[in-house]
Amino acid sequence: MATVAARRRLPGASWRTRAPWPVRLLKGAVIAAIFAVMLYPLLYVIMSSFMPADATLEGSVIPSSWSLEAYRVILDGGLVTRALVVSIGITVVGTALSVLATTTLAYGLTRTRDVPGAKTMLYLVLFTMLFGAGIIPNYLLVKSLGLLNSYWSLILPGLISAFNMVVVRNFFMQIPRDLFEAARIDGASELRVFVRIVLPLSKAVIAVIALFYAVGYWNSFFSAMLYINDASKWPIQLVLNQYVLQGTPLAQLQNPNATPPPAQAVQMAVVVLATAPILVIYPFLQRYFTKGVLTGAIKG
Amino acid sequence: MSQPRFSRRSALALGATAALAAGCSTKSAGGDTTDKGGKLSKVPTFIAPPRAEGGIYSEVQGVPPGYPLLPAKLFKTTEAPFNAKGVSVLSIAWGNPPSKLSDNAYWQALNKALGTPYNGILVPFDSYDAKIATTLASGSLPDITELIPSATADKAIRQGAFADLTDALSGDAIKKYRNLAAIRPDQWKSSAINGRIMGVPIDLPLCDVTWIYRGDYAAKVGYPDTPKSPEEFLTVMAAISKGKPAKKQVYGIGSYGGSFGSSTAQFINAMFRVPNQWRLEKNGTLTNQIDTDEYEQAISFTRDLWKAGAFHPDGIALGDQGAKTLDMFTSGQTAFVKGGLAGAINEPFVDMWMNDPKVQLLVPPGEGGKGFTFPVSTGWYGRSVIPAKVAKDAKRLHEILQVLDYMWAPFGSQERLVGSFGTRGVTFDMKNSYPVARTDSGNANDVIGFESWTAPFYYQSPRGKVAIQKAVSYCETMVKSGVANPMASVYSPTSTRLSSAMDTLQQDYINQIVTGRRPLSDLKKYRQAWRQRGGDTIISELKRGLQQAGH
Amino acid sequence: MYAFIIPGFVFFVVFAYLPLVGNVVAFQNYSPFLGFRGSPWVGFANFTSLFSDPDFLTALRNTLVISLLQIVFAFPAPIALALLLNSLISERLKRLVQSIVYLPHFISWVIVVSIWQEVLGGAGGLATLLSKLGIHSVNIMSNPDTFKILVTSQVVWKETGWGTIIFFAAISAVAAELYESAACDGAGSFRQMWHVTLPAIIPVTMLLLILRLGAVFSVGFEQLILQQNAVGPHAAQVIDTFAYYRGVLGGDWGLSAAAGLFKGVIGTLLVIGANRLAKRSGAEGLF
Repeated sequence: MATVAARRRLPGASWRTRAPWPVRLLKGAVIAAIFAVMLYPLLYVIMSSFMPADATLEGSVIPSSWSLEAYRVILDGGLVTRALVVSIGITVVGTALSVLATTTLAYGLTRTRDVPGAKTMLYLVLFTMLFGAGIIPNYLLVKSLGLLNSYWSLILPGLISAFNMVVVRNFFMQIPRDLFEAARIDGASELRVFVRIVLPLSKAVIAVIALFYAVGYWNSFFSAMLYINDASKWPIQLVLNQYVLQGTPLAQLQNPNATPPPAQAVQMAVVVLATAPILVIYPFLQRYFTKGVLTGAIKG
Repeated sequence: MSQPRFSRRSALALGATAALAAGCSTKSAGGDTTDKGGKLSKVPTFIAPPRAEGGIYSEVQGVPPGYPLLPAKLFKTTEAPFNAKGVSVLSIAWGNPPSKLSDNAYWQALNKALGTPYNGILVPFDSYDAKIATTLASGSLPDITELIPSATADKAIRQGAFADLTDALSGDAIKKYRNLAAIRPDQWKSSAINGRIMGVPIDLPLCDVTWIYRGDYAAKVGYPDTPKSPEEFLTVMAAISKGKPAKKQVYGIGSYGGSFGSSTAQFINAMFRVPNQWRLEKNGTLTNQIDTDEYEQAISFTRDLWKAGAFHPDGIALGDQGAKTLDMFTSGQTAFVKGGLAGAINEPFVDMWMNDPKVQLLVPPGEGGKGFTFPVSTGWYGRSVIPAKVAKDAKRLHEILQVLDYMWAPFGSQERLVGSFGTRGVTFDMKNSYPVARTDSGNANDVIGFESWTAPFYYQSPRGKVAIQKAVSYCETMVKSGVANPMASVYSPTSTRLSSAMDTLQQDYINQIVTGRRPLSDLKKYRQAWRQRGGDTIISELKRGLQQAGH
Repeated sequence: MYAFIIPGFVFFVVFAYLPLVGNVVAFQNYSPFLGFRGSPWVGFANFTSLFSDPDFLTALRNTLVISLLQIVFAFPAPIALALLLNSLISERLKRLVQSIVYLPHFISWVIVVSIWQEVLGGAGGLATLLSKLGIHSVNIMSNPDTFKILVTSQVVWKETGWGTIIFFAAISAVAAELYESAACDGAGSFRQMWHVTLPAIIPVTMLLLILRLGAVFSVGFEQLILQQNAVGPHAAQVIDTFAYYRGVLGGDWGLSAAAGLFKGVIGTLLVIGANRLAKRSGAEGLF
């Protein structure tokens, strides 16, 4: 006890002790290095998006001159706004449905010992992670379901990701069995157990897969290209990609009259615009997987 | 190797392999039609298109015309509006996607002028292969498809997916479609398959590349004169890299090899008169470009260029990064770049040479004072194809061909104005007698979205006669010293099946030889590897194809 | 329970299993126009031509080496980073660093390669710096010998931050009481991490490792295609890029499907093997 009391305790997290200063210094240095290595390219991207044709960055991160040309080219004309609405719709609806479908299936597969056939079904789901079908069979399936040119073609085929499902199941399996048994002995139905016990304790993993799904839906590009023939229904990534393609030398032939912004700036602006919404939701979800949520659950 | 480079717009971005074509395998010929060869016997009659007032025309075949202004009076070339059932079209999207019909003034005007609703399906050009494959597999092909040569596409054509248009178009039958009759006989012949017309060839000028050279940088480092020999070119480029023509570091040449940088190799090949893919002797000997002495000279020279520091150190990597390479040139970091199809009139080049005459469109200086040879294109980069099922109904076929005919109208016609520019005051304005697309509320995009794949190619620029004339003259210079690929219209299944493997082989050897990682003597190893990998088979297939075509 | 399982299962049957039938093209000389019914049957010919293709063997070798490097370096990196960040006292600093390190995940590979070129390329920052010191022509991005280390470093840089998210979720599920009782027993922060935090993330680590082994032949695609030209296919070709060049571009769909089946079969064997090993060592396997 003497050694523990001798170390400096911190308020709040009472078990935490301050590490000796050489360790802290080393940790600080490592974190600073990681921070710098991650931050420099991001700054590069943001700064590059503000550069006109004759400017350069030259190793440092301040452009020699500034211009909003890249953004103006992209945001002019209302195309991006329309695509944004489409993408937001798909992301919100898709994420909600996916989280629902994934958590229910994951819970269903937690009791592989007691429920006959559950183990087989788990194997079969895992199997789909190892083999893919390729674009043609998937296209034919979507077509035969009548989903071509529909927004549902962007949501249904990817509704449940086997990977996400397995992760959620793994987290569910970490919940102490006693909690389940206690509730079941009390006569609670599986639905009640799921809603009252499992979900509240799984906020962290649900936040994580919600984030994964949201990013996945937000980034849908290839499926939209294949299944959506009506260009006015294209989601944001597909539209933004056209700007990137436009910046390439070939496409400039199409409109020899205009002065396009340099391709690099457009590509960078596309990254900034395409990523911004994720940056907005991330902090909201972050709090779920950084704070402990199990405190007091065992006692109750 | 023996298929057309679809360099007009696609090759550079659609993956590393520029010479894509079908894939029949040697495993089993069952189901795949091996070509029976044969020449196109009945070529559609050629009727020169009407000339627009003020247009600049060249007498050299294959050089596109240019138009500095819109004539006051426009002629009519079709019987539109046609009052027929709608037509669906699959084409490549080069620009922003168009607004939906109810918001799209251009589209509405087009439908009205055509009298046939136009239903366009756009594919971003970097996903084109996948889209074509899935569309073919689904069995519902649109009425017209812009079909670029690719392994999947070429297989599909030969398996009967698309209609044989020979009877509908050859001889005087084409007179029903005046604008299609402006397609030249060499284009029809070179795009024919097994002696039949399987699609309408999409126009590509014979001069499909330009090279821009910063003579101002050269002057600053002491070389004000245009290079007249490869050695002079090397000296200048090296001097630019070593000297300081600008505040920041400048390199002579940006990229080499790859989808974009292959143009540098083309330039060097032109200087050394390397054959255009193949050399066919009178006695029937067929030699691949890489087996020739000229090729060896060109590679040796490229090594010297690299050793002298004329290239950007990342030159090989930049070969696949066209956007970056172009940016480097625009921001003044390199002195030599490919200007694409219309380098003379495109931004930013037109600005550069108009402001400083020392910036030039460079003509390859021939080795030994014996002039250069320019590898001309095949004259087409794709075909507009119609599904075989649809074409069985002659009336429907006619409806579709009429729409195609409309989209092929030359500049100076009413149809071209609607098709490419839209409605005056709504989608474009006239500035100095020249139609300029309006960029507000996305209208410009609505125009480009649909029409980019049709129309005979022409130079157009609001910069006036000087710019257009420069473009036309440069193209003439190139075509006059042009040499065609003798195997352009002969099909070799092995060549197309192995085209990506051969590209990889080339990457492995040539890129490394050029940068000095491998010795020049490895060129022999490369030639052997090429033959072993399938080169011998390709040669024998091509020879057989030649025989069948009656050579 | 079946009410929970059936709907999800039906989803997999329809959207995952039905399309798998399309793998029959691995045994055909497939042409999209002729379709499954019209394309001729060739038995195992696609497989034999796959295994006898010298480029495929190179691709296989490259794939395995890169995969190994990724498992050794790129796999543990998020764990290490998560633990490091977790040990930070300051919540604010922890949140700040977290919010930055995951961002590279969103930058497309085209731009990542471009940025790395700015620093490590022939005309890049590093090369200029070294040439000032007298060391010339250093071009890490075009060097075939260091290529595999280069691409692994790129993956570490791009994905480590994003990879920590799942571990943070696992760490956050640990009850505070466990730390308290460890502290009462005299454990300092390192011992606490070793005895409390680490065990909490072992289940998810095992899971991810098993899945990673199942995907041993998938080492990236866009990242490698962009850089293959610079270093040559001998150093850079992997199974996925090989299948793309031959399959999609070369129109040899059968060959591409054969490569996919090959990947799947080996992956399955590895997953089963790894799962057994995990169970034997006491951990909770995947199934």
